[in-house]
Amino acid sequence: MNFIDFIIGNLTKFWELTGFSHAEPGNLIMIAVGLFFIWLAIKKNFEPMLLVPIGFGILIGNIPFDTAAGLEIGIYEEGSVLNILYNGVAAGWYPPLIFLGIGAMTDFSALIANPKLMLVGAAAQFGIFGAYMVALLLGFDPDQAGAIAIIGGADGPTAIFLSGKLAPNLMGAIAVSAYSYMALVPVIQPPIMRLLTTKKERLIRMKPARKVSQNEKIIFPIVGLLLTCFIVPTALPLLGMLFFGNLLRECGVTNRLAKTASNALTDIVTILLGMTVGASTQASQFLTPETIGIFALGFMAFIIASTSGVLFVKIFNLVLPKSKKINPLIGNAGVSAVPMAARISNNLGLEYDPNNYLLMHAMGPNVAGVIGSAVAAGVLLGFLA
Amino acid sequence: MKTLGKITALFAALIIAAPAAMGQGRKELRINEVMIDNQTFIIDNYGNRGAWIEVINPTHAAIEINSIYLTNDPEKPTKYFVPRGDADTKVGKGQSVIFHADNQPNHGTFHLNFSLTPGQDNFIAIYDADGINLIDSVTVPASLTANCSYARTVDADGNPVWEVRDDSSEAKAITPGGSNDIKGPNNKIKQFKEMDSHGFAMSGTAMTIVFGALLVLCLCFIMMQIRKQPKKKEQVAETPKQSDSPQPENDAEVAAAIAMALHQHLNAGVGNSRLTITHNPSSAWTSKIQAMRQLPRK
Repeated sequence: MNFIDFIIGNLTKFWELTGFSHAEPGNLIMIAVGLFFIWLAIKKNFEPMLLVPIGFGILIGNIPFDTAAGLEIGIYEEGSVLNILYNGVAAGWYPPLIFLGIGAMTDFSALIANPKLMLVGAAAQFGIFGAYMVALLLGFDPDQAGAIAIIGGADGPTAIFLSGKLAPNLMGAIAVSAYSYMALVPVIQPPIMRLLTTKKERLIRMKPARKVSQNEKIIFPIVGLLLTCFIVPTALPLLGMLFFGNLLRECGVTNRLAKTASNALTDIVTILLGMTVGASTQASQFLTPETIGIFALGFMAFIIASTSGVLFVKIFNLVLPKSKKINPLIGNAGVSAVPMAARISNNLGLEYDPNNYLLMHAMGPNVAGVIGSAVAAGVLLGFLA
Repeated sequence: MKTLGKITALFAALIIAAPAAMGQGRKELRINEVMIDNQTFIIDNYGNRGAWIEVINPTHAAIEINSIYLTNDPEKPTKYFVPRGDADTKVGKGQSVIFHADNQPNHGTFHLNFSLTPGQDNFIAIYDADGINLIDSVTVPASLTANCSYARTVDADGNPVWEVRDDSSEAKAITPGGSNDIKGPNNKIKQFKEMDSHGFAMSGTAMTIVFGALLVLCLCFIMMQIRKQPKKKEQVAETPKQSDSPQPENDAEVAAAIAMALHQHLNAGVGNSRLTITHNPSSAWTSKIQAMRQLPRK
């Protein structure tokens, strides 16, 4: 072997290690998807907190390399850094931490002041079970159907938590689908809301709710935890952390903890969760016919959820006195995309009446949706795990 | 006195919680399967066949079993001490370990210093590290024949049903180191596939539970509101009795009066200045600014 052969041999080996020699069309497609997510987030301001980490994670996860070389760099290679970070998704401990942050950020006053709005949050969960039935029709097994259907709850952490338990092989597709539809709330929901409501209904003005006392705010997470988790203990990791975070916020003596839970901790977990979920979408695992089915079912679940929320309010209005009618534009907020769905209600309400602020009213079903989807996940887990 | 009360309450809570805490861990260990006369089954690491005892950790966490005692004599609960310092004494969740009752403790941690005798009742027990607290025990009947095991029908069942197993079928399989009830695919999924192929039962049940959970929460807070309302009226009715002077109508007026007083106090030398107090109607219920985040740009 002369020197030239030696150099060529090394260069050939180096070429074999590069991403170019292992690139497949699937990788390029996924990289394009990742770039699209980043573009949506930066250019169109579509949920940048979610789509930037997920989009960049997709790029990270789809850089091709020689998996046979045992480099321990891929997200599915045990012991790799990405694999260690992915453990929070695979073992399901990121979602409860996110719920802790959500609890610490959420003001449940709107719900406490007007408890009947909890039922709107419950009604929107029909999206989950409507999608479950369709998924069964399409030939998915009950556990897979349950994991896919939870996308209808529009709750990323819950979707990851449940799919990790019921269908770990579909988790990447389910997580990306759930977060994508959460980001697309402003696109998907308004046409449904316009279609299902009359102009007169959209102009309904709701009275500002009463002021909620501090004691009520403190009692809510405690009573909420005890009542819901005694009924569905399988939802304990999610609801336990949600209500715990809320108690930290409301009790008035743990401000530092509440601040950390709602800011630093949530930010850290969001970064890790988004990035690793994105990176888990390796083309070889992700680009399958099943993924297309999951995205289609997720879309349908989201539409059913939004529809059932709005329709439930319309039906509910039939039995409510005239002074207590609910604006059906807040029905969509029963899905638990907090606070995106509530914001949509508010903005659509303002479109028809510039002085009709629905945000705080919509926050009621919105946070009830968070509780409802966690309960629904607990039910599915209890029945199917 | 208040502090003393708090300390007493704390101790009371600790005392109440202590038994529950002790209930975790090695207290959950169970004798799961026993073979007295082993002619054709497992061979130990010295190539010998002998009686064996399977101990299972049915919990969902690993349990360290060193320092516990095994015995075949109710009068001598501390007969065999499971030595410390062996990494294998940490039993994983749902895992089991086999102790060889060969009276050869020098052969290793899992070789007991007693043996079991075929043709007679054999008492076997596990005691905690104090040698007093019984963790689990079983008496293997004298009728157990060679190459048959005495096993729980369900692993570590709280209400144990023991049976003789002769390895003649899957149901009667002898399973040293393995689960006594071999589990196939998830039966729940199979049942749902067969009984509820369209998902109506699941959807109906689950939606009822979701509605039920939120309805209970809703009713709870509605009841709290109802209970609160009359109290408010009583307070309002009592107010005139406390003082004869007219009471301000609402908090906003009080705030305005205080603000005016402060303004006059702080700007004493300003002269003929006029203070205008306007009501700011924006709140979280009506404010565009507080609408949290902007809509995506189109």
